[in-house]
Amino acid sequence: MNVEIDTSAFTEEAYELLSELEDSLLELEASPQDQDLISRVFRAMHTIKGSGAMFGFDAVAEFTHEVETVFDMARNGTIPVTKQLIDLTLAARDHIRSLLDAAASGDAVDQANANRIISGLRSLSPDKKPAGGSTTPAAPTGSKAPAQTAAAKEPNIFRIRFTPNQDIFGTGTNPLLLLNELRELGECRIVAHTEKLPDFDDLDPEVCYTGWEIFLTSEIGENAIRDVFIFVEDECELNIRLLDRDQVIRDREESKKLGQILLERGDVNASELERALMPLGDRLVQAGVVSPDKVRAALTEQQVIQEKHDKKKTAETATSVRVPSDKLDSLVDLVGELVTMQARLNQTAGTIGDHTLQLIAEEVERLTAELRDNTMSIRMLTIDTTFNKFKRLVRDLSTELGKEIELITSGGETELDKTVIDQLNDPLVHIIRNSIDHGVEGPDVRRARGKNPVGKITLAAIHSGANVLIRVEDDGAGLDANKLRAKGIEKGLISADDELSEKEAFQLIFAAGFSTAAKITNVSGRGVGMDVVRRSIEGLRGSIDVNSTLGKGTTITLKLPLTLAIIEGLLVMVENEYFVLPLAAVEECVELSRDDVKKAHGRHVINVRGDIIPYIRIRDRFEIEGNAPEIEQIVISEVDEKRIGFVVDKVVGQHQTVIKTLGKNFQHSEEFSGATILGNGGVALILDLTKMVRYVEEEELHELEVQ
Amino acid sequence: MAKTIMTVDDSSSVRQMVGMTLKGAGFTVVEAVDGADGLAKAKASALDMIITDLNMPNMDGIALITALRALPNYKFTPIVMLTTESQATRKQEGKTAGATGWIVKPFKPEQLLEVVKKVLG
Amino acid sequence: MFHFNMDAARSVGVLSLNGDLTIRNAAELKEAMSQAMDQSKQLELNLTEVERVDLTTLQILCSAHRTLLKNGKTLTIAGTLSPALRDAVQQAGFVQCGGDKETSGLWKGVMN
Repeated sequence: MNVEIDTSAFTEEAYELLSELEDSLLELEASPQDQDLISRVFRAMHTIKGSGAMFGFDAVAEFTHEVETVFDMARNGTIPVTKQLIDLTLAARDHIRSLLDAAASGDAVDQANANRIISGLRSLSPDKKPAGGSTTPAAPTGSKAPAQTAAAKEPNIFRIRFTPNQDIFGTGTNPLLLLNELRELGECRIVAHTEKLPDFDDLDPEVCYTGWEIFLTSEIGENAIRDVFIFVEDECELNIRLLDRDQVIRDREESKKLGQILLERGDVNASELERALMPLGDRLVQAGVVSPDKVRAALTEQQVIQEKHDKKKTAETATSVRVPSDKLDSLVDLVGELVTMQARLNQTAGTIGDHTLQLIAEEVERLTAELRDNTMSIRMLTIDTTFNKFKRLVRDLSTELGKEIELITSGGETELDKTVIDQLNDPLVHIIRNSIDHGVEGPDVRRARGKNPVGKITLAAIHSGANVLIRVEDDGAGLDANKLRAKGIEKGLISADDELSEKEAFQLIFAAGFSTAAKITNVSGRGVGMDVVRRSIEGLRGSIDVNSTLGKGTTITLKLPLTLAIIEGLLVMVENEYFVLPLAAVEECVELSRDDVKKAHGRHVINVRGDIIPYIRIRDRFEIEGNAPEIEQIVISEVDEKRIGFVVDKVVGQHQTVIKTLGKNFQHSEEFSGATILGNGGVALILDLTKMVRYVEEEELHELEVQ
Repeated sequence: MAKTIMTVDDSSSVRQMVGMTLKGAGFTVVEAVDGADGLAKAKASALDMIITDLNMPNMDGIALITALRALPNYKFTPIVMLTTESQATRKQEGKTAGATGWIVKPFKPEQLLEVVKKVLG
Repeated sequence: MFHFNMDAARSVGVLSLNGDLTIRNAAELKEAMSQAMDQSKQLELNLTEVERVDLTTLQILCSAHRTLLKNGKTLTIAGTLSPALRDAVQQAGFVQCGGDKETSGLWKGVMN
């Protein structure tokens, strides 16, 4: 009788752990003494191994076991954390990943690679004996403190939050025994949380209502603590945190008075304690900690240590919920439909003219807007996970190229729509690869140029209205406008007598088939880079810009919309057709009379308060039949940092636009970013202004050449 | 009063090893050869703890745990299963059926006593 | 195992608990407590003879204490605690349980 179990829970967790592992390892490289990081790495390995075995991923479990064994030595101080260890562990991490991938795809794995990693790791162990042996990984035998080979460590202070499930007695578990086990590990202060204890009449005598907060001072590691709870892992909430030692000392000094009161009288004299407790308790109650048990726990924590940030953080993780992203997608779809229906309701209510109905419609409008904003915010993710991935990329590539490059990130907390983040990875990889390969010079060249031999790439995200700007900046060689020009002519992208500004020359790097590197390396591809990048960014309704100073470096800026699904638009009409222009680009609307057209002598430009602004007639562009009204409207918009007008018959007004994508077969489809359903059931096309302007320009150039 | 522990295993060598270890530590030991035997002996005596193998003829360990948990007297009694590493999924089944914990085979007497202390006090 | 005495004149009930008080007889303990609570305005517990004890007992006593206070009644402990119970209270971190402003701690005064 073998029950099939769902292994996706494990693989999901494992992939997540692997990415954490990578971050931890890279951090560890920077601070190899950090015990916390070492045990984080160990724990990740341990969990992958443990769960791997549980879910039948034997190859994963076996391989991970080898790595874990060596890292355990690092944890115990038997072997030092060296670059070699980190390199091997990173390689091992990648191999575990490929094992997981292979389990899903059925592909073969590179066993030679695995053997190489394992023998490399084994060679690090001091007795050079094969790692492993008759260990029983999941057995709770590790609850003894691991042998301390290094110099006696200072004791750690752990805060353990242990909340058994209500039905934990049903597995024959006595939680008090677990508390006793903790006492054997070191000095313990235990505070019971009994807030959930119901009134006597509602009390089920066979249910566990109690949770605990335990402050343990001990030299053991976190794993020994986890081992205590090994049997109840799935039957409780467990949160173990190593409290910061320096902070402990600081806090101890600060709260010496309180500490003394509690230490001297705390458990000894309860009434004295109560008196001592009162004012502080009040303060904590005011600070929002309501229940007496929590006050006590907080007080105990203060007595042992105080760590406010930490508290906030755990509260956050405890209240977050994970949902599959397709559920979110369908939520967004539904909200989109609701927004459309709401527009219809508004319109109908307006037509009917019933006051009560209009009030309801307005209320629904307000709620819909709130719902929309909320839904969008759920889809927002911080970009730091994406940023963190690049640490590895930069490290590996720069090593490969013999360069030294430091990656600095900022604004990782900036949020973007999940879809945008998902699709941002590849373009960013390309840009960063370019910087590493073509931008930042090798250390010798840099030294010769009087630069710091260690190059710098800065990856920054900042908010800017309805957009997020992502900037990749390097302090490398910079772009040479003259070389770009020459290259452009050579490739036939521009003609020899074209006068290009520096800025326009930089834009050439985004042209298809443009590559300036004299030597093609396998790092940044073969000249299929930046044009692809531009296309994918524009696919996200974003834009890309480049700026550079020769000899100083290059900055590439991506401008991305916060969200993809719903935009604020300006609804306009030409004959009976509706169009939507992204409101973010719109600057103003001006009238265009027949007189104005005559004055321009056939050129499509208008004078707006002294500025000559070119315009595009939507009517002509899409060959809409009929006669233009006496006075048309020009919607002046900013496109690629230039002001351009779009001539329409009528401006209807602001419109909340739910974007539906169009099929590729649609004529002019490149010039539309999608369509939207209107309140009256009609369809409006959403104009992609950037692309439209570009096409119009190209066509005009072409016509000029023909002439 | 000495506490009573039952060891349920179809392998006599395991029963012997467990029995000796526990008796040596001052426990009273009841031996059963399979799940059905274990269930009958549990009903007939007042046990403080049960240590059971998983793969056995005549009612396996999981079924025994399920049956014991249904008895009022054993609703909350510590039950520890003996597993092997390759039986990870069985271990999970055992937990779901109401087992308190597990010991991975092969194990040393000290490990057994450690687990007994862990769940029985 | 449970013995209840009523001093009708003072409306003080004394409930003596002895022997093993664990989850196996937690339901019975709750029932005995419930009856004693209904009958008395002041309830005194005699816990000197308690032997084995676990978390369920502590939960029952604590909940009873809080509920009685809420209803304007009292629950006190007469005499000392048995060593087993004392240990359990300490082990479970219940020493200060209910010892805040509104309610006076059940275990106050008997843990010294």
